[in-house]
Amino acid sequence: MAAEYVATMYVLFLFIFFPVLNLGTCGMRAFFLWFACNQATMLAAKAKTFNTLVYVPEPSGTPYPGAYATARARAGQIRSMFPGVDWTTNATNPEVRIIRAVIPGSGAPAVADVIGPATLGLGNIPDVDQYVCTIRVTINGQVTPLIPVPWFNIQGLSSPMFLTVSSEAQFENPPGLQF
Amino acid sequence: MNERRIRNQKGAAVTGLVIALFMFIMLAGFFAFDSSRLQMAQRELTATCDAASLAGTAMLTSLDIANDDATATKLGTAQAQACAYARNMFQNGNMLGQSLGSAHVVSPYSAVAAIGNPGDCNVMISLADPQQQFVGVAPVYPDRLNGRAIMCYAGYTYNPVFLGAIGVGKVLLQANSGGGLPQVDAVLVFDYSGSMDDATNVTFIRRTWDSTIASSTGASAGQMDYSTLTALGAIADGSSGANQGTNHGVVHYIEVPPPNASHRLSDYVVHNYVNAPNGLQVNVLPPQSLPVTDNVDSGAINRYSFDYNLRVNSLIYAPLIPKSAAPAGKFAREYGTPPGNCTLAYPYGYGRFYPENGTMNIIANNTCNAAYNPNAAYAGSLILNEHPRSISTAFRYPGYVNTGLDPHCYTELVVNIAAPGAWPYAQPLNGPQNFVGFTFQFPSQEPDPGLAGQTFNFENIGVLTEAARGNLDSASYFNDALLDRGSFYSTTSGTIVNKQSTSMTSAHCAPNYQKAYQRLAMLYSQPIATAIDGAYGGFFQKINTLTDCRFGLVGFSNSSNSVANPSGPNFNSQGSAHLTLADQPNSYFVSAQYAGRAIGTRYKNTNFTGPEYNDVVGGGSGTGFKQPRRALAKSESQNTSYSGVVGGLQSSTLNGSCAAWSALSTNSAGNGLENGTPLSDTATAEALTTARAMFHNGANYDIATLSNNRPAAKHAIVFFTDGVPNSADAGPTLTQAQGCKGEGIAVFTIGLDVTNNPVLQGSQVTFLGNQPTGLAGASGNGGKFFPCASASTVRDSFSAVARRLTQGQR
Repeated sequence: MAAEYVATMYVLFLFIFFPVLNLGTCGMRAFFLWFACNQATMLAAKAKTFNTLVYVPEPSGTPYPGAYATARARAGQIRSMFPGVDWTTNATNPEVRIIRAVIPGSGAPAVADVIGPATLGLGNIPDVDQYVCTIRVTINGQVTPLIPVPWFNIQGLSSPMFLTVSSEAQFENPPGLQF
Repeated sequence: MNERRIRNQKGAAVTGLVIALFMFIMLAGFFAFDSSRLQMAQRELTATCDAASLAGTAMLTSLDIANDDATATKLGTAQAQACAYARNMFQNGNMLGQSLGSAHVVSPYSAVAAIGNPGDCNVMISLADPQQQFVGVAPVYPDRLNGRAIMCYAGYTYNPVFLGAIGVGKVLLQANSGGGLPQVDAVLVFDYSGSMDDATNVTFIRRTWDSTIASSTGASAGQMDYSTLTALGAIADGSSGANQGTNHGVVHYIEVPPPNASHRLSDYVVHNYVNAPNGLQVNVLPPQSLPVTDNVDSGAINRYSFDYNLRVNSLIYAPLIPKSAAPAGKFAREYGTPPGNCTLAYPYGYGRFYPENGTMNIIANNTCNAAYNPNAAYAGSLILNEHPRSISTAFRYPGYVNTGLDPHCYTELVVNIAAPGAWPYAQPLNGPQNFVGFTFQFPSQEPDPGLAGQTFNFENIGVLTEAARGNLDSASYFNDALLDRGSFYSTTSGTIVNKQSTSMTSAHCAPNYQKAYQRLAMLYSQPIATAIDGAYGGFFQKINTLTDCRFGLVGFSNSSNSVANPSGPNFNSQGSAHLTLADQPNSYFVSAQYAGRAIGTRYKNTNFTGPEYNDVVGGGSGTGFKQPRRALAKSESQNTSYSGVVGGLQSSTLNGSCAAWSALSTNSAGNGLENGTPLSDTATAEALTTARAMFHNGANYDIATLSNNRPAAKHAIVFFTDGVPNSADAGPTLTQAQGCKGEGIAVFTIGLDVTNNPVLQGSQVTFLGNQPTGLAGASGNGGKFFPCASASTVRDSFSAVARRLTQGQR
């Protein structure tokens, strides 16, 4: 029986407990990764511009960084709160994208997305009667399992799992997208 | 035995494994369940806070905070109501299927974070200053002035369903949200066309010299010139001839009644709104353009005809009137002259007809042998050398109501003013159908220091007329107008009141009488007074209180005809187009100079030789009548921008020189909303061109550059009109609106129709509407058309625009 228990425990921990623990941890961390993306989107959507710092009122009122900086900063802030959630930061990761979705029936032409830090540019103001302007934040990140296992390489089980998460929200001040 | 026992225990490990696995999966499931539920609760709490703060901010922008008192009581009330609304909105929310109706309203902030019993929720609604990092603001004056945002803080005690079994206790969830401080840069395009006072209740009056009435005092033989009377045999004529004598002759005010009970200006002249939906060019305050009452759009059986000969001193060739004051020969004034048919000799009277060409050679000591006979014939048939009393017919003196050849001939148009009540005056103010005498003491808050606290009596139409002319401003003017001989009035208010004494004496005179009349007439001019009040209270005050804003103003009427750049843009106040002959619209204007300058300055441009006097529009360019303008400027402070566009409406900006409805003021308050004068046309193209160009105005403001722009601001043009442009203007105006589309400028349009005219309403929908060929629709960017069927809804429309521009979230 002792021998049987040893085998049972071996099976239990090696093939069930640890994998489930690692997978569960990865799942939870994947949620945190999405949560960072979602919170970044929510805050970015309330920004006044896309990539320009403004003060309201000028010159020393409440600072409002653009949506691009806001999203990245907020995502980074949440990343720092949860270990095991990470991504390689560069200009397009987290990616902050301007999407102008044509309102059906408006007759407006489809337009390409703009990926930050580029803005729509001066004079390219989306007409809110023709387009729904949204901000989409996408993070190419990774979540690590709780207990790394060096002997084999299965994402989420023994090595970091790579994920792409995204979230989207309507931008509140569409004219600000040109800055 | 032992072997068998061992064999019997085979499989126990598997059973343990299954049980352990079950327990492990169950615990994982419990954890996943509670985690998900926690996350759901957090999101619900955040969403509820968002909804509450947005609702509170929306309510704050919807409530009336116009004309607030010194301690911002209205604002305080609005903030309290907005906070209550936000609280109610929060308590109407749900958390995990349970109502938040029992959420505890707590204060201070630390109480929000207190952990309570499972399911307990604490909420705090507060004011915050979005200009100072959303720091909390106490709801007391003056702190409340900075409370432009409604914050909602909430704490919820979550009790895990399963994890409590393993020692995970109550968890505090917190969330907060607040309405943001929007930035708004808006230009108001405001209609000052002549129709903006068509709904004013007025009285037409014929002011005439009546030598059948014995003067009360002062008439001596030396004042009467009998040469004409003798020549025509008038003295000996008829039954009333005996009345012609040394001590006869007074000013007589005769009400010229409207065709029906309505004294509204448009009803008075029976204006045909089907043929001319843009209304009347006649104005109730200078420039009145009174000759225009006699035009083809009038449906009156007998059109009302302005008798400028009888009025005499309104002729534009002012230098012909020898009573000119300094500078000599360049000064025309309303006051100090009796009617044109006065027969008294200089210096006691000026009974003389002046031809329009200005070539009459004035002889010394103006004699009365050219006195005008207003009853001889109508339409300018002027009979020189005929005394008003004809020898060939029955009495034709205009001293009897509704008799004579032309009872519709008049000389004065006065507003049926009344006491406007306590400060702040509540619009719309509509005067009585028939003028009723009253006494009014201006409140101490009245912006003009010359009027504040002063009392004025307006007992009858005689007093009203002379106040309007300025003859009650001093005893000197009063006597010069020969009013010291007595004056009488006749009305048709139900029953003809024949020759009632006005009881006016020089004791009636007081400084600023004319100004008092004009101020009250201004308040009772409709719909412009209500429109100004609506724009002021419903738009400017609200935006200024609730946002970080800059303003521009473009007043328009026929301004495009008179400026150096007819197609626009013209950023400074403009002198509007005006003609030069006596019977042409807008050709003369003797202003009361609401404040700051001497009464009587001439406002016109004539072909008379010699230097013009005060023809330059103060604070602007051109000549004629001011259409106020003020460019949008990023570098200005918010208060400077706001004070500039509201002008004379705000006492703090007056600096002792109120400029309401005066073209003269050159100070910063002289180019504001209240400084425009209703005048003729609806030149919309130049106006919208200018408004749009204010967003492309170089260093002042330029949406095409980052440094001269306010990138976070909402850009809007608010276009207000009570008419529609002519066809030549409509196309270019639409082009400008279409240009706004790609520039992020929303055009909000407000179309007012106080005449219930379906033709006008249809035209406004076409011109201003939401379809692609309407200004609002063409501009896109959220622009919208607001039709107004009555003056009382104008403020609501302006408020609706303000609400669309002020709502936002942090």
